[in-house]
Amino acid sequence: MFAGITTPNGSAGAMRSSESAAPTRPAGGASASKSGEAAKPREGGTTARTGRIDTDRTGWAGGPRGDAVERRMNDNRVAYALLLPALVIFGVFFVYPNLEVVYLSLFNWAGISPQKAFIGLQNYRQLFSEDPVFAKAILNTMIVAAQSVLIQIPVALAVAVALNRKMRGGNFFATVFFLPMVISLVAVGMVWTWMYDPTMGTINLLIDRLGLHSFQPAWLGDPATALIAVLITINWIYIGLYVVIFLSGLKSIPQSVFDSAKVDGLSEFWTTLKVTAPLLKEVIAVLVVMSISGSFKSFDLIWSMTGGGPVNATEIATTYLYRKAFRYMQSGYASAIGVSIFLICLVITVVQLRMMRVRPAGGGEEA
Amino acid sequence: MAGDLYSLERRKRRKQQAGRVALYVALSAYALVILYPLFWVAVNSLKDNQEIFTNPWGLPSHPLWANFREAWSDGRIGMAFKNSVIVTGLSVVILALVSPMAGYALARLRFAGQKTVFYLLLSGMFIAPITGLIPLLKLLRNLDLVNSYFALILPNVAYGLPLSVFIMRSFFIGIPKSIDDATMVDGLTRWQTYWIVMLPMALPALYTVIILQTVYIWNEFLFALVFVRAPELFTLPRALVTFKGTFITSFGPLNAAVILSAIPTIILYAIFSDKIRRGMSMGFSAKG
Repeated sequence: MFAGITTPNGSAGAMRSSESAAPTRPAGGASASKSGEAAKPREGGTTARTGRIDTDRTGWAGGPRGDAVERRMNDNRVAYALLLPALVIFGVFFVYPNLEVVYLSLFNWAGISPQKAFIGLQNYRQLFSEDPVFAKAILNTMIVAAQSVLIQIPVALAVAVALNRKMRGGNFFATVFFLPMVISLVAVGMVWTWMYDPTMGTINLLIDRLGLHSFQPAWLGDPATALIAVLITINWIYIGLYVVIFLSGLKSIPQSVFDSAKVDGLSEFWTTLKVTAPLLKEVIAVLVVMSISGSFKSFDLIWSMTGGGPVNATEIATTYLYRKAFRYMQSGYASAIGVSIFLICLVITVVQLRMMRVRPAGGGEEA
Repeated sequence: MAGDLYSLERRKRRKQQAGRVALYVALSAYALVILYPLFWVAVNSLKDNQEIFTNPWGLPSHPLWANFREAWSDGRIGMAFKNSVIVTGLSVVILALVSPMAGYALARLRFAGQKTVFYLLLSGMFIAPITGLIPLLKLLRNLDLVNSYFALILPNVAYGLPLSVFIMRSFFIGIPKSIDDATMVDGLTRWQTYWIVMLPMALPALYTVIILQTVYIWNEFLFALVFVRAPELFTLPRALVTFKGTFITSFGPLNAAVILSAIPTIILYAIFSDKIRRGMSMGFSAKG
């Protein structure tokens, strides 16, 4: 899940499948990953020293030698000085709000007014048992996630396999496919809203030219087609991202693997399905998790295209939270939605990683 | 016999060639699908309303550059452009100063509470910004920061920190420890080592952070939607929404506004496409 983050050459763009999901190990992960990193040969071979640091990492008092103690005290001071600015901003504007939201979700609170009434878990009870719109929003979010998994991942893998062959213009294509990622989702949403517009857009004109004169959907205006229209746009944006992620995974597979598959007489299709995809198992796992939690996070695009409408046809968890908080002024209730989004994301991530049996490969130090 | 083999070989090669052509056709079609909407917006930004409807496929008969002027002034896109530059610029400067420091501390130093800091930052990668939105608004109100640039800058920095710190951290981990040791043998303190030796070495990673965060923050919308109410402070994505809401039928200027808002990141992408692609794919797979 956190591929490339803890790897030494992560910033060099390495998203190797073997190194993905490094810090997702269970309890005790940080120390394990640290010792793992330290054990790598490229770390400069100071195994003795790092070994010592790792064994007494519970505190500087345990240092076996005087200079080690001094060094550690010094390290502590410098570390805190270096971390201070980041931690202050992060603590105040990230950690604190994300804790307070749990507290606020226990209140009946309009948001602006100072009065709020403590109602315990009432918001959650209402949310999960008597709120059809929330159920609809969760269902839609799941649909978005499922289509990412079922459409974006296979298509992107096929495109990446095609681009991975040494072909002229491969880099050009990758550059173009990725382009939507650098444009704001609001702008993309506006463009596609116009594209879908039955009077000014060119999509229905194109369908008409193809001879389907009777098939002229209202797209975003019709509850039956709005979600499909949004999904098409989502694919337009994100397939390029998935292609690039697959490409960096493919780079880590030696050419000899493809060559021997060819010698064995495997066609390109079966090579991709039987050889390449299993080798990219961990990249695929990352992308699956990414698709699911990504759909629970996305807001900008749907908000700018439909605002969740028409009649909740494209409502997802985040747009519903926004409307509850800022249109209906139910901030306590909206906070409960926020906490739910967080918990759902957390559960899905954990379950998914377990199911995919993604080992936290850090560098082969796994005990 | 030999002739058969030869023709078999030739047929195989011809088949391969046909496959290659088909591949290029398919990839070009996909590229067209990606580029067409952007091309269409660019073309429409130079048409008047009537031509947008009557001539949907063609180029503008006479380019209407006034659309851009109208978007820039009447649509307040110029003002929003300035705001976006200020908000993005200041946020990125803070991130560029603060995240290498934290990244170095996490990569190299051993200190009490390290694990906690590590996991706190990590949690920042997978918690959706909307989760903390309501308390964050409450906090900004209490600090009297709502309707100021800082209502956008501080949350943008806070939510940009995890990825930036981890990019820097992994770069520092890749630098051999012997370099640290050598500088300390030379009599530099940890603090001096960081500023004089390590930070200059980490500039490539720092550039990645700067470029990546510029794109992210330039396009940021949720905070801009909730934390700023005064139109004079709107950043581009926020101003686009308002412009669309108030000038609902001025399609030419609206298309021009979309182009104006997207040009800076597209230029950045044209220059640093590799860095952005690698950084963003790393960031997304990390953010989950």
